[in-house]
Amino acid sequence: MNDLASSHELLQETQNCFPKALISDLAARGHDFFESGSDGVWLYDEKGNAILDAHSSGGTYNLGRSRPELGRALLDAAETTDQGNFVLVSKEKVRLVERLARFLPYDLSCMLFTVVRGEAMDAACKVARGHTGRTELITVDGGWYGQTGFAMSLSDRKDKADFGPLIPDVKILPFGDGAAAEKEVTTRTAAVILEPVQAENGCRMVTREYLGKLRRICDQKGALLILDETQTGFGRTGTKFACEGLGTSPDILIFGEALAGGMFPMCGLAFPPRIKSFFDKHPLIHLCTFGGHDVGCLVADKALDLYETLKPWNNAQKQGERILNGLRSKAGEYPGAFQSVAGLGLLLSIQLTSNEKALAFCKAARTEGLFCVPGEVLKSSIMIRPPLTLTDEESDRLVEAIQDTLGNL
Amino acid sequence: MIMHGTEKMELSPKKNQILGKFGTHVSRGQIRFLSAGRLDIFEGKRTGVHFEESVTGKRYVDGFSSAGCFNVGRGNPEVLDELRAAVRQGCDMGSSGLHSRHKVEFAKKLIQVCPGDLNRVIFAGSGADAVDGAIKLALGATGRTKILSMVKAYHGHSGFSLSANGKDYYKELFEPLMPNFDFLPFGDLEAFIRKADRNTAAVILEPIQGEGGIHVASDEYLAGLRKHCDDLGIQLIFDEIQTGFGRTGKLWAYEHSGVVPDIMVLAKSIGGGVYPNGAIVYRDTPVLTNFGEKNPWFHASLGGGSDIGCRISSKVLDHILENRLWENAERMGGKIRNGLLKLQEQNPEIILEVRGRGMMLGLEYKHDFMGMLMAECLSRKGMFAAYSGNAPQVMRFQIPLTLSEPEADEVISIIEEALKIMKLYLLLLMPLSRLPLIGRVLNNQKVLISSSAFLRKFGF
Repeated sequence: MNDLASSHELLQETQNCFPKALISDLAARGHDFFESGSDGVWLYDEKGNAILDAHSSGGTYNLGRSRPELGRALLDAAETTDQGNFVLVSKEKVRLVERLARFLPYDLSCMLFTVVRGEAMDAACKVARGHTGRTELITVDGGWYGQTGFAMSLSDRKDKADFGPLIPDVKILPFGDGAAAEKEVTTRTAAVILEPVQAENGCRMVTREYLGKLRRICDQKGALLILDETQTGFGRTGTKFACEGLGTSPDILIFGEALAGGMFPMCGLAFPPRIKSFFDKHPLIHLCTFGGHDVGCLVADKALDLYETLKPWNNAQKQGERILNGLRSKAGEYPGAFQSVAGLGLLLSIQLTSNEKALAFCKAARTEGLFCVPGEVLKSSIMIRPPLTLTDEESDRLVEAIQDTLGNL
Repeated sequence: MIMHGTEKMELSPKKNQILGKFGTHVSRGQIRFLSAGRLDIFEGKRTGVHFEESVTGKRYVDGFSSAGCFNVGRGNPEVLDELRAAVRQGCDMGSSGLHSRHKVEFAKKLIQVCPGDLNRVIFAGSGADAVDGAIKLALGATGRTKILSMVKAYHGHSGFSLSANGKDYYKELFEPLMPNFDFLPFGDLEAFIRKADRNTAAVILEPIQGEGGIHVASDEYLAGLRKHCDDLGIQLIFDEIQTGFGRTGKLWAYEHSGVVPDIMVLAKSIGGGVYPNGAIVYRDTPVLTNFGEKNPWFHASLGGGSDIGCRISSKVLDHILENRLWENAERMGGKIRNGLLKLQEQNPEIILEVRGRGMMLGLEYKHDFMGMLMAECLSRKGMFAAYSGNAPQVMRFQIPLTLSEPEADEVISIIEEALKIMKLYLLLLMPLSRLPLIGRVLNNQKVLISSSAFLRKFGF
């Protein structure tokens, strides 16, 4: 089996293995190229063109692309260990959980690992039901939590009905409406679930007051507060975790692939000891063969070194402001396309006038050397979510590329 | 239980410290469970079919392979070379939503070895993620709402996969799960015919149930399912997460019967034991292809189909094909099977049945409580084996497929030695187990775990 020779041949093969619509969809966004390498905030197409990565694979690359320290950690780990037998205790797992317990805010010192973020949400919902003995799951509109069963049932996803009736006893409340939460969260509610910033929904943010109110309601009713920080965690919004900036401690925090910096797929959930007691009583009740993978644990351990040394949340805050200021300074110049920009740290979203404009923006951005995608919920928004290692010059380049793209629309 | 002076050394403070931390941050119950089967061990150096316990240096045969993840052997040098090359060339996970040479090359290799028109690929991050995607595909494509699964089935712990799980322990605390999932006795075609209708989107099954206790679906059963699925427009999903990549003596378990599913789900050994990956492969039929064309992003997994993952999976597939690893699985599996059958003859009071195909073998004991005891005896003699989660009376043997002839002899002699210890236990336990109350207690896993863990604390 020879390597595929040219990109033409590669395209042919792509059509033979994947839906053709995938390729035409990618073409409509200007993303019909083959990713052929990356470093820092840049990725490269098959011709070697550098493209600024403002997608970060859904908030995975907080530490930058193809981070050499993480590559070395991956190799070192694979020399000394492998995934391990998932039922066993391992030194690698213990090293990471101990370390992560110190890194995470509040009393979130216990954890469970998964591969994909959806499964972390699924596990969180299960723990909430199992721990409280209640069944109702409450979330807010505009959320996006992943592709697996519970995660999809909670998400604001237009095609949800295509997959039949989903998880029962899920209620969706209007976002930001404290009175609705007051009324609807009851003593039969297992958990209230939301993202501090709805990245896929135009970066709609919870306020300190709203989140504080949800915390109080949950405490009163005995429900758990679950925060999905897969997008906001590991420094993206200018603090280590968004919940710290918002001054509210969740009962379960879901963290995403940024944990291992994009060198290894690993997500999970963290919770305090009082909730871990559920796993003491019911061991091995949520198994994930690749979750808590020994190699992944060592890569994540190295990523935590980098997070602690670089403190990229400081830069995220600084560059986020720089980009916001840059974009707002010329906000009035693109009346037909641009509406507004929102977000926190380096989790930003540009609101355009229509879904079509958003696709056209992605396509035009590609020619300006910028890779970005529309929001999954608010398809007329464009997410700007670069690695947190962005320099001043790269921020300016990013702003310039966005402005040139808007100018070309 | 039996005193074993030297092994008390294992209880070094360092080991207890590690276990203690795991208990603090993850689960104390898991340590109790492991400790009861003398499985509170740490894997150190891992090579081929062996690992060394990192505190005592004791050598173990890996009889479990993380439920069938290490088909190419642990620390496979070719797989590690590929990982080195990937990192040297600056790979990372790549971008979800973009194509790359690595992703396409792996997809191409995969469909070349999949049957007939199974030639559409969706990547996933794990087995559960892939099962969720497969069930979504069937529901979405057919517009129907009912899913049929099997009693004792095991497909994972995420929303859809758990809903298709055939064991209550995993589900009952988390209900209500997905509605309209129903369960059939495995192998009972009449039951399927009674339950299946034109609102059934899919039937999902493992060609050989792993967790369920190594139950092999007969060729006639699978052919019957295929026929009735065709008649009613039901999608046939094979979960080959454990049976795939050579495990059963063929590259895929479906080859034994020749019955081709509509959707096949893959994970575990796809990652060569070093890097997670997973895949859904589906047939290019109008109903499935049209859905894929209308909804190309319906199951876009961030962690699945990564650049590094696809390079590793490509190499795993190359390695299996070049070495025809399934043939070794057939040969060595046959040898171990014969060894086990002989042991069954010699120990009829312990072993009820030997089942399985290739190197996916199961040993069923006469009583539930024997599973955990045997895990303990095997561990003493240098083999790590897990009793089935969905069937504690069954020991699963899923040794890496790279097993050599002398290693197969070693495996058989370890099991033989373990059975000798088992017999000593039984001298005490069998008379007790005939007393109604104690018999019930013995077969209660919870009681057995806590009492064994308690005894272990005092060096038993």
